[in-house]
Amino acid sequence: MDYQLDIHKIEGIVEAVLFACGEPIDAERLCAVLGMEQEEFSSVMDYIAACYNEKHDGTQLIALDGCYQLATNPEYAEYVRHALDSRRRMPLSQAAMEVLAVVAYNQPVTRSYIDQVRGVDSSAVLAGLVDKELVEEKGKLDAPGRPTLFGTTLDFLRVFGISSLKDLPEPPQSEKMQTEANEQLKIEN
Amino acid sequence: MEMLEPTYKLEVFEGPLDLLLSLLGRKKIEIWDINISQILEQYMEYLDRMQRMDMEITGEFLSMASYLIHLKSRMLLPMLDEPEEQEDPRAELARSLEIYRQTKERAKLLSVVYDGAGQTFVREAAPLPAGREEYSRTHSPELLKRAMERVLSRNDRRMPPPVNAFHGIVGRERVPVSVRVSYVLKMLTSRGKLKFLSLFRSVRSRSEIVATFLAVLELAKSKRVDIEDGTDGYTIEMSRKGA
Repeated sequence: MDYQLDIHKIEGIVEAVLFACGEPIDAERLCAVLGMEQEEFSSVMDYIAACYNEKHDGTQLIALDGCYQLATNPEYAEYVRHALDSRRRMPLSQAAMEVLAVVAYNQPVTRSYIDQVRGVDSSAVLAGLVDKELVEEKGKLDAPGRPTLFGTTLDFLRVFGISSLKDLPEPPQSEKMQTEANEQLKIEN
Repeated sequence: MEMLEPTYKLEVFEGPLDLLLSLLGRKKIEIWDINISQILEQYMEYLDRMQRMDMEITGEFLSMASYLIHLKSRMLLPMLDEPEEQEDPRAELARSLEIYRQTKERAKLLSVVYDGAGQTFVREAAPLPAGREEYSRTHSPELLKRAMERVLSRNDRRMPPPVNAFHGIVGRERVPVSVRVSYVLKMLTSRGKLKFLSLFRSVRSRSEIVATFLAVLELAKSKRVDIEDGTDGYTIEMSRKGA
């Protein structure tokens, strides 16, 4: 089968697979499904996503850190909520945002690192974020006690409307001092 | 004193670092050049107000207070044999504050991103790959009918075997009461007195238990045995009449 010649068919296959899958599916798997090379795939995937999103309004093909997923268009969130009888999403507390910021910008991090940066015990807030599936365990740190490492999930990217951690906004300021300070804290930690 | 009181509302802080940043911010003091004794005074004042408001002062706030006191004393005392390149004792605190300040800023940026993102909905994952758990092949209903016919044609073989099939293999033992009467009398003759329960020690079936019990009743009725409470108060002792 020569999919390369038929971009339309690739789009159809990607749509069908993403629809059936629901969850984000990684590029590698899509490649295997399509029988394409990784390089070849990445060059067409952006185009396919753009094509799809142009044709469809209610759902969108979104990229999340090398994975793809079908999601509803945020413009219609209100209507979907109504149909599903679900409430407006709860705003995240300041504490939750802080913990999320520590995890997102420094991941993977241990709980004690988060506690140290914030100067307060953050275990309950962290557990809440894990429950919301915005943060997940990412293995163990190779240190005494083998503490659990935490990082953000693909859902985190989707919920924040970004495609990759590189898209996280960075406050403009003296980078050097901070990196130094950060390094120091990490060493002490 | 620059803080007004009484206060009816006390700003709530995420923790001691948050409080310190707020205190510093109010006076526009550089993080890297903190006047420790001044900040300590304000910090303690805040804790005092928390206490008066009946707010719980967590260990983290107390620990920071003791750390500030420690810093203050270090700043006051002259260090003997102080090496030239000794780090400013306030540096560690400054670093913590700097990192926390950065974290707060990032949290604020994240909030903006979060609020602006708009909500998307995604489907729950379908059980993939299909066919592993859900049966996906199709068959004609005729197959089902034939299978049912096969089951029905075999039905007679599945009936439980009739009772007489067990005759000679499994049976009910019938123990005549008379046999047990002579057993009880024999036991009483050889032992004189015996405990009622000891008669049941060697029985092998329910039928034998019942027959033994009936034998004892029979003997008591015909007054051939004496039955009395045992010396320990909870056993029954039997003896032959007139023995």
